[in-house]
Amino acid sequence: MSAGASVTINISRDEATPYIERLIEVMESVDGRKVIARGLERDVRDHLIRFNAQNPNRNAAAGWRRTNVVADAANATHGEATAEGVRISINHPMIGLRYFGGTVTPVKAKLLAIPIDPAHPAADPQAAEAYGQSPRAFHHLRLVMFGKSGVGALIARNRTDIAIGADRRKGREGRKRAKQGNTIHGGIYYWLVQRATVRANPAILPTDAAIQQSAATHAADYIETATTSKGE
Amino acid sequence: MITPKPLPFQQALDALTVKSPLPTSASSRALEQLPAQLARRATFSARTNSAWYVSRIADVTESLVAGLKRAEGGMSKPQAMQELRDALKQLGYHPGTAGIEPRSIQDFSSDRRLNLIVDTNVDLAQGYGHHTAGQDPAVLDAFPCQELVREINSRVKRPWTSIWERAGGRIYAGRMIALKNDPVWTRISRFNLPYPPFDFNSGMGVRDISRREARDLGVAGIEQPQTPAPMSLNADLAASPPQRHRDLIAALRDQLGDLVTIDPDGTIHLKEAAA
Repeated sequence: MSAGASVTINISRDEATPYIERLIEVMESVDGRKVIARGLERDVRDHLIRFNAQNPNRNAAAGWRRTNVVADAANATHGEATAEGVRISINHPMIGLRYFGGTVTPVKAKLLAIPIDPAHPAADPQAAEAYGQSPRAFHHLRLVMFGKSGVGALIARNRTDIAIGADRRKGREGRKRAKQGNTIHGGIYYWLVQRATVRANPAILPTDAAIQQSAATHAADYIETATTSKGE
Repeated sequence: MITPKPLPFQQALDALTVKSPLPTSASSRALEQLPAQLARRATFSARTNSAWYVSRIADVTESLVAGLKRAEGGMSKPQAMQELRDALKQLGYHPGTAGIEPRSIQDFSSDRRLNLIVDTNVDLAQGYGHHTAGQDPAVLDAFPCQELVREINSRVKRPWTSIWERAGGRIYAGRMIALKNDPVWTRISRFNLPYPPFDFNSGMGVRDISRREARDLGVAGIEQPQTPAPMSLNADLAASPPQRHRDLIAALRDQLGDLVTIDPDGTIHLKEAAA
C-alpha cells in the first residue's frame, strides 16, 4: 500500500458541545468551511514541516542524505470545503504508508531494493549514497541471491582508484602519470526483498484532538473577523 | 477522521495542464528574461533542446503532483529522477561526450541537476495551487497576509532577511510578513512570481497569517479591504494543447522581439539583453 492521506471533518448535531456548536454555526456556510479548511491546511503543513525538521532519517549521522520527504508532503497538502464539511488532502504517496503502516510489495520489478544501513558490517564504504536513489542510478552493482530464500543483495564490484599526478621521474618531467590507488572491496548497497513492512507512525500527522481544536480556533477567528469586518 | 483517500490538488494540476514544452538552448540566466506570465505556461530547463525530454520532465512532474499510488501509475521522487536519467540515455546523452564535468549541475544526468529540475517544477505547481486557493475572497479576508519562512534547512542559506528588506519588505517582531498581494513577493522571486519557490533550492516557503495575528503585529495595510488578484488559467485550460503551444510561441515573439529566435524544430534561442 502506498497512498496519500486525507483529514476529514464532518460535524453532526448529535455530538454538539458548546465549542462544537460554534463550529457547526461556521460550517453551515460555504465561506466558513473554506476558511476552516485553509486554517487546518496551514496547521497540518506546520506539523509536517516541524516533523521533518525534528526527525532526520535514522542513518543521517552515517551519511544518508536528507530527502526532506515529509516537507515535500507539507507542500502537497491542501484544504477544501466539501458539501458536508472540510477535507485536508496530502497528495504524497509516502504519507499514507507512514501514517497507517503497511506492507510494500514490488509493482513493476520482482524485488524491492532497500538501502543497507551504512553501519552494517557488510555495507560498502560508499553505501550511504544509495539512500534516496533508485538502484538503476548505479552501474557498478551486481546481483547476488542468497539460495532459494528469495532474498538477495546488490553488491558493488571491487574497484581500484587511479590517481593521476605529475610525473617526477627523470626525463619525464611535466608529463602526467597514472598511479594505482587503493582497491575497495565492494560491499552491499541494497538488500533485495519480496516485501517490506512499514510500521505505522501516527505522530506524522496531528492527532484528531489537535485537529478539532484547530478547527474550533479557526471557527472562532472566522466569527470575530466576519463580525469586525462588517462593523457589527 | 484520517483516511488514505486524498482529493486531487486541482489548482496545482491545472498549473501543469496549461504548460507547453519549450526546448531551448538558453542558459538559466537568459531564461530569467522570460516574462512571468509566459514562463508559467511553459516547461523548460536551461540548455535542454530536446522537446521529447522536456515533455518527459512534464510527465514526471504531473505524476509527482498527482501523488498517485505506484499501481495507479504514480512514482516516488527517486523513480522520477531515474525516469529522466533513462530518457537521457535513450537520447544518447553522456556528460563525457557532451564535454561536461560529470556530477556537476551542468551534467543533465547528475543528482543535483535532476533534483533541481524535479523539485523546482513540482514546487512551482504546488506554489501556484496554494496561491490561487488563497485568493478566494473568504480565505483572503481571513488570512490576508503570509510570512516568509524556512521550510527546509538548505546547505547554503541565502541572506533572506536582506533580500526581503532590499525588496521593500518590512519586519514585524523579527518575522518577514506582508499582505498576500504585496509586490514584495514577486520582487524576492528569481522567477518573478508571487509564490514559492522564490529561488532554486532555497528551502523557503510561505505560511498564512490570520487577520487577527496580522492586526496584533500591526502589519501595514491590514485595515484596508483586500482585493483578490487571481492568476486565472481558464482561457489556457479551454484551449487545446497545440493551440496553447501556438499561443505561447506567438506571445514569446511578440514580447521578446529580436531577443528570441525559433528553429524549425521548435528550439528557442534567447539572446541575453544588454544590462
